Amino acid sequence: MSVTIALELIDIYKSFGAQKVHQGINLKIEKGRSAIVVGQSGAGKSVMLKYFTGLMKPDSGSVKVFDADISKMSRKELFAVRSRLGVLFQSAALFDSLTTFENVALPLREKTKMTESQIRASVLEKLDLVGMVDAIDKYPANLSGGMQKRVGLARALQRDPDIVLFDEPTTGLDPETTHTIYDLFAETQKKLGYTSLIVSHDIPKVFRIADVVAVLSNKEIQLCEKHCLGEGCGNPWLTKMLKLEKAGLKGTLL
Amino acid sequence: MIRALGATTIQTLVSHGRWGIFMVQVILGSLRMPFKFKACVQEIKAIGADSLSIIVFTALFTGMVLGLQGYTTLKQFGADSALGLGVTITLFSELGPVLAALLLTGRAGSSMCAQIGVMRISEQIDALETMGIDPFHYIISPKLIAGIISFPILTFLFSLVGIFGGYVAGVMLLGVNSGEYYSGIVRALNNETIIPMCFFKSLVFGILMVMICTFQGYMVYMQKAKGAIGVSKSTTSAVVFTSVNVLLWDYLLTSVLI
Repeated sequence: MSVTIALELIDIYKSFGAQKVHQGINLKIEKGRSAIVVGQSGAGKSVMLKYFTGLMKPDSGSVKVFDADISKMSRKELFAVRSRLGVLFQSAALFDSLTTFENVALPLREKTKMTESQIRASVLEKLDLVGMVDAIDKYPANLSGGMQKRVGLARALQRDPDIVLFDEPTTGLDPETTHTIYDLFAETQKKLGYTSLIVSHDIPKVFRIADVVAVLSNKEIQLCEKHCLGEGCGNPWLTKMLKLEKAGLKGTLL
Repeated sequence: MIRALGATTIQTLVSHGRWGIFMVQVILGSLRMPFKFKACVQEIKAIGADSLSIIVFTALFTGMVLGLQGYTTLKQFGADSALGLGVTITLFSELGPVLAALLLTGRAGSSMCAQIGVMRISEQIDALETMGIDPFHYIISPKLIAGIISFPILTFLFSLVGIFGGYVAGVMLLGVNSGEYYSGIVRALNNETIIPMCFFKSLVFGILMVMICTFQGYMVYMQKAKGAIGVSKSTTSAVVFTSVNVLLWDYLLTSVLI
């Protein structure tokens, strides 16, 4: 049976001035799977995520979303591909001047011809999914970090995307909220069946929601299946990080 | 040295290219449907209505100073009856458009730049892009349309209040004949170039202010300093570049329209 590839990087090279970030990286993520990208600080994890949203282009190589090469697309074509994507940003990126309801309704108001009652029903459904119906009239400034991430997730899921990208979604959250957020990701993915790509430094907590882990180190990428993650899958950087985590020293070296 | 010169040239070309692309995208965003009526009204309020008090206050005292200085100078030549003419021409052709533009740059332009800069660093603009929403259409085009509408109105208001200020100083305080002051105003406004010049200048300054201030905010990531310092530097640059450009374009437009 043929497998559908949702996200793909082919021979990607990227430099910022003299700093080489990616040196021929390749990655394939199958439809419906949950992939985690981990790696050293400055290894280009978030840059990788930006390739898929079209916010950044590689110097060379192909970036494919459902087999369409977005690295060569016009802005208009890119907007069409983006309608299949949902993105949860590190800062949640909610609009300060809009309430929770307005933030989640924004993609529908701007990109669809739905009536106001249809929009309301859809927003309530997504806010219910992330447990934020009670905060419907609150502004982002009045929400905690975890609540902002939930609303950000509701907005990312608003147009029922095929792929959801998460950029360091638990940065700045306490351990309990981090676990709750991961549970929420797993739950929504199970319900909606989207493909997810999560950039994280949250080793090993984030592994519990992963089908596959991509380790980005030394400008290259290594794919690790879930069953061998406990030992670091033979990746020196991951093995070292797991040892440090066990010894309770990770925070001192990151 | 040649390498440094080459690098500077490339840098200059790149930044001008970015500016050009930005302007094209803003114009295209402004022409795109649906028209952002509600956002335009909010921006007109932010640029126009919220600036009314500072415009009226500054215009009144500018006009009073013009009346006082004009009277003192004209009196030496026995021409104090031309005070209304002088005040009106000065305000409509020069001080009205320039001072209104500088005031609005300080008040509304800086806020525009900071707002977009913060949206940029907090990934709100990236979020719009990833939702397939054009940020030029959604955020910047209402500001441009509001600038095009608000600037001429506020400039005319500035000039009219300034003329009243000249009346207060010249007629009410210094004793210039009110009929002569009024006939001076009428003579000035009968000049065919004065009102079109005022309108055209204010329109150009409005477009310049919105374009420069939004560009500086949008390109905040080009600042060497990041975060809040980057936004503060962009805002300063926005106010300085706009002010310098207003003065430069004032001369160019005057030389063409006079």
